[in-house]
Amino acid sequence: MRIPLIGVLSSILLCACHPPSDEPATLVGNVLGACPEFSETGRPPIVQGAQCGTLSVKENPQDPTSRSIELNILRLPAINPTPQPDPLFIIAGGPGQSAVGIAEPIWTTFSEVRKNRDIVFVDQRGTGQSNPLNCKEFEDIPYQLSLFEQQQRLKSVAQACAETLGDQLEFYTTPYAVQDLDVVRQALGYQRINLWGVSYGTRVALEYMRRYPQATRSSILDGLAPVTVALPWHGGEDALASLRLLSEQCSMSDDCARRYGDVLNSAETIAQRLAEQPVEVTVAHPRTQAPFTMSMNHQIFASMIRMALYTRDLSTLVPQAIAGARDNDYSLLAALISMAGEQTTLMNISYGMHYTVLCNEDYPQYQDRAEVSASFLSANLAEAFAELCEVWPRYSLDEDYFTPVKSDVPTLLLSGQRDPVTPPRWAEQVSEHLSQARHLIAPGGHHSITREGCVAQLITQFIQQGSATSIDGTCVNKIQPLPPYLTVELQTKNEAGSSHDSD
Amino acid sequence: MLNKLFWRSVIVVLRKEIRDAVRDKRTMRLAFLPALYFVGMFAVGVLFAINMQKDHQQDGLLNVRVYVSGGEYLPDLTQWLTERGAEIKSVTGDAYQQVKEKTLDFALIIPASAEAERAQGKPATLWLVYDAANPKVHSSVGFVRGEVHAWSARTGSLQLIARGISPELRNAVTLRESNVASDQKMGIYILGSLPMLLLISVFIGSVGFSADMTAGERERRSLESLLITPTPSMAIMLGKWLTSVLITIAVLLATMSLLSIVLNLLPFNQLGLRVDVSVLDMVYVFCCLLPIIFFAVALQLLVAVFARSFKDAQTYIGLLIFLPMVPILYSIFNPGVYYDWFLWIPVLGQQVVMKELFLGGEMAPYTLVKFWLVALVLWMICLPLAARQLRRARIVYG
Amino acid sequence: MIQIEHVSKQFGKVEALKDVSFTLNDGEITGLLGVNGAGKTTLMRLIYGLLQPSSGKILVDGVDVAQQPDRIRERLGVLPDDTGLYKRLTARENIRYFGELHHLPPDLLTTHTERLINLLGMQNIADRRAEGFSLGERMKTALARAIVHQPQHIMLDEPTNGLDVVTTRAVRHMLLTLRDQGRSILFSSHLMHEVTGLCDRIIVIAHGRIVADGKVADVIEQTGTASLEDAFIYLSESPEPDVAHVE
Repeated sequence: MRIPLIGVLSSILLCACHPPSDEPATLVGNVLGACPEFSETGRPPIVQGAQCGTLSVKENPQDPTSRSIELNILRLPAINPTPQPDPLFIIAGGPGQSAVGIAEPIWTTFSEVRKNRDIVFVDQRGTGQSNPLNCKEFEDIPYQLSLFEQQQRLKSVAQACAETLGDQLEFYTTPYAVQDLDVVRQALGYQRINLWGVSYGTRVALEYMRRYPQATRSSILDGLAPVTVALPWHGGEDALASLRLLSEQCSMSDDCARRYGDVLNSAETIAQRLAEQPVEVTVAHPRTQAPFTMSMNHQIFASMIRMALYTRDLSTLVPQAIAGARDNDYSLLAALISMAGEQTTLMNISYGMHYTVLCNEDYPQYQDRAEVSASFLSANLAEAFAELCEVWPRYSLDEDYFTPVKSDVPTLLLSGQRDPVTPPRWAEQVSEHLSQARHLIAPGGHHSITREGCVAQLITQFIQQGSATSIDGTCVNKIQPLPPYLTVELQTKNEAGSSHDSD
Repeated sequence: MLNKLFWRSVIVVLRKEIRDAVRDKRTMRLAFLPALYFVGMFAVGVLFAINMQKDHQQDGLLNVRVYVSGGEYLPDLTQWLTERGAEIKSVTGDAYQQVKEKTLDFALIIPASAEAERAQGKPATLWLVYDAANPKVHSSVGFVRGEVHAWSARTGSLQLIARGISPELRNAVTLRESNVASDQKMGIYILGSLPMLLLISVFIGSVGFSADMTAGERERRSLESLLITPTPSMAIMLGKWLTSVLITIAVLLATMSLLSIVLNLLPFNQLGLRVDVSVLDMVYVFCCLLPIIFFAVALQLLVAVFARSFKDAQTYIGLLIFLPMVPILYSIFNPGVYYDWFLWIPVLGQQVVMKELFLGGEMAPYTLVKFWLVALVLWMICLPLAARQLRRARIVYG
Repeated sequence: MIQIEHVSKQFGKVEALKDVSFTLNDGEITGLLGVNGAGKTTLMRLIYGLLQPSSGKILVDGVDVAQQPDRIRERLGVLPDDTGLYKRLTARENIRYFGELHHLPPDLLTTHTERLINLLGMQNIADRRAEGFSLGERMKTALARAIVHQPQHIMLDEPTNGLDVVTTRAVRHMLLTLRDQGRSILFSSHLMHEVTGLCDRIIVIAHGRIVADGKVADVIEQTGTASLEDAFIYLSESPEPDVAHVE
């Protein structure tokens, strides 16, 4: 669901490849069957009656002799025995996250939709169980290494990964995935579908709207990452904007300002300090309490703050973490980093597909302007990314793909005001070319707001009506920023006062 | 006895009784009325349940009125509740007393001490006060309970992370639950009453007619003349039995047609239930009930023969409704219990099988054979017994 | 021919009939006389087999009623005391129902039904539902219903009760015709003049015994009274009289 740590990484390459054709692949009957039993998988199906299956497609749709790959599909059938004919297709982010993989945590969000519509999850090619292009080595880069060592390691891992995966990478960019999606739609017998995409998934959904307008009934885009924006080049500005909002919020509150001071200013100070002199930090592991040592440099510091800003919960800890680091106490930051590492593993990103998309769709657009990209807390997040893409295979994509998507499909755009990666401004840009779009911004929302407050209910309404015009979106204003976490120690004054009262 | 003349007599009696019954508009109306009100009651019940669910919705959005006393002491919590769909109503004065006096349905009481307790990192004690005997409050209270727990857990996790401790350590195990009932099986909460409803309508479908054809015939003193004809009493009984059976079948078909319409029209999916009763399922249900009709009507006639008057007969037959209730009560108090011998118990077997059919299950093979065997045995006991009774002087002249 | 041989009937401790014997001959109208509770109705019920005698037996054309009740009922036409109609059926339907139960072929059934309707002057009520019939209309319908199958033996319990003069005459005429056709007719009545005018023979029953049996004139003579009414009262009131058989 997120674009993870893309700032920490880098490379380049190029290539020539054929744009995918519009001809539908051969359809396969009876694509879906009952999902495997508990005895096989060790976990029960998400809901009783869930259907699993695979659909075979040509890796290169234009070449009949190309090898076949299996697309992994999960369908949660509608509760209504005579459901609406148009299901909801869930498109995951990353890039590289498995849609089927997020079904379990996310399906309840759509349980109202499911009362009348099937919910369909398709692992995008290269992710999940659809011929995943995994490079687990990316997750094994130790934090103990110095910045230079880390970057070297990253580059070599990327190189090795790209070599292992080989020429097939050509067929794992977004346009191929979009074509797959329509093949699945046809194979499952749907005339029209509704789309829900998050983060990178919005890019897939937008491209689907462009290519198959007749087959798209409506579209919900949560956290816009259109190909026209090439997010990695804007990560710095957007993260800074998010941190600035948080900092402002803290200074508005007496308690927060007294405890943590000027958060943004402190963060910049720390970053400069670390850029000059990285420090070795030893902290107890958050779970095991075993001491672990890591090298804290400005890149990691910036990435970590940015990472915390992705979620509402962790962002409440940012003022404390920064205030601590200012006073040379990096323990909270280190703990966050180690937890983030574990979380990233859980997200199960297929890095082969991840970099194929980013290095072929985002990186080339600003290739020669890496230097101008704004830095965040002294770190140029795009720089590392660019370095990685330098070693990644490159293929040419159709130029039209990089033009804004114009569409009349009813579209609901969702943004979190404090999203450090897909802030509302990108949704605004996208909506200029969408005639039937509605943009809702949650003031306290971060990356992805579908599960916050009333948003899921609005999505249900939107899909029901197939139109955004009559949606009353005022309730998203109730999604206010969570107050920053306040440490207990500093509050003892008040406490003493009140305990006197009670005596 | 079972010669051509016998069957001709049966048909003569049947034709006369049908003509008689059809002209009895009042009893006919009474016979078909239950079809309407059973299905009507069912539909109203379902709609009510659906409406209950929408109770807290405004323009399709969740909007739960939550009465809070001392919301200012934990503004973060009230903000969270608001975000999740609460409409906070501040309560002034003694909220506890107000709930007790029923001027408030429920209240979340946040004591003034909560602020200081939170500041010290202590769990503040809040009070959720409600009258559990008031069914209206359950969903609101459930909402508040759930959201307070969620907020508390979320805040608790952050407190741990802030101290460099993984929130995973809060729990020793993660208990996940998996409901193996399909969405269709979950329909039991709504459809569980249908087998009983159909069984009862089978048992009462022809009460008026069965009573009229036996006790009524006796009361208006036409029985004697009838018995002086050379018609065997079994032929008379059979004719009357067929009449009641046909009427009951008509009543049942009417009930089931209405039910099919209602099942198709009601938005069960809004309750998160999948109700998918096909025409074939309905045919099976009908086949299950047919043997019941056979012996139930025979039983009715047997009981009615003993009644002195039409009114007595109606009362006695009315009591027969408790017969299907017994196995049904058994299955209510032993839900989910099933043994193969159930199929041999009339009514209980049907109840189990019909429930299965409504919930998308299938019928075990030979089920109908069992139903028919049992019904025929009971039928062969009841009807000849009733026929024999008919000619007894006590019955004719009693 | 109906033979009643030493028939007794007890209801619990009450002896309703005591050793009754007589024969009803074809081509003869027999009047059965007796005060209320004398045993007339019991005797009739025994003959048409709805009651079983405690002892003795009854033969209808040589067939034992107790052995083959259904067979003898084919030969009987009975108008029981206080019988009811099916009130939602018309008079004609009531009549036809019983004809059908006697398995009359449809055309014959129609002929008989129409004839009886004409004979009893029921044209105006034939297609009305029995609900709301007057006593006489009910009686006519029940009578027609009882004999629609043209039985060999006819038993009527007070058949002219509630009938107007015209119909009574018609009924009387009909019974005479039936007798002349060779049928046996047994009917009970309280109306002495009717019995006098119609019956070939009368049987007087008192306290469960037959106290007189013979032609009207013979009975009057036997009792030494002036009229049948006097004779009847004499016979009914004498305590436990001897059996008087007058052949």
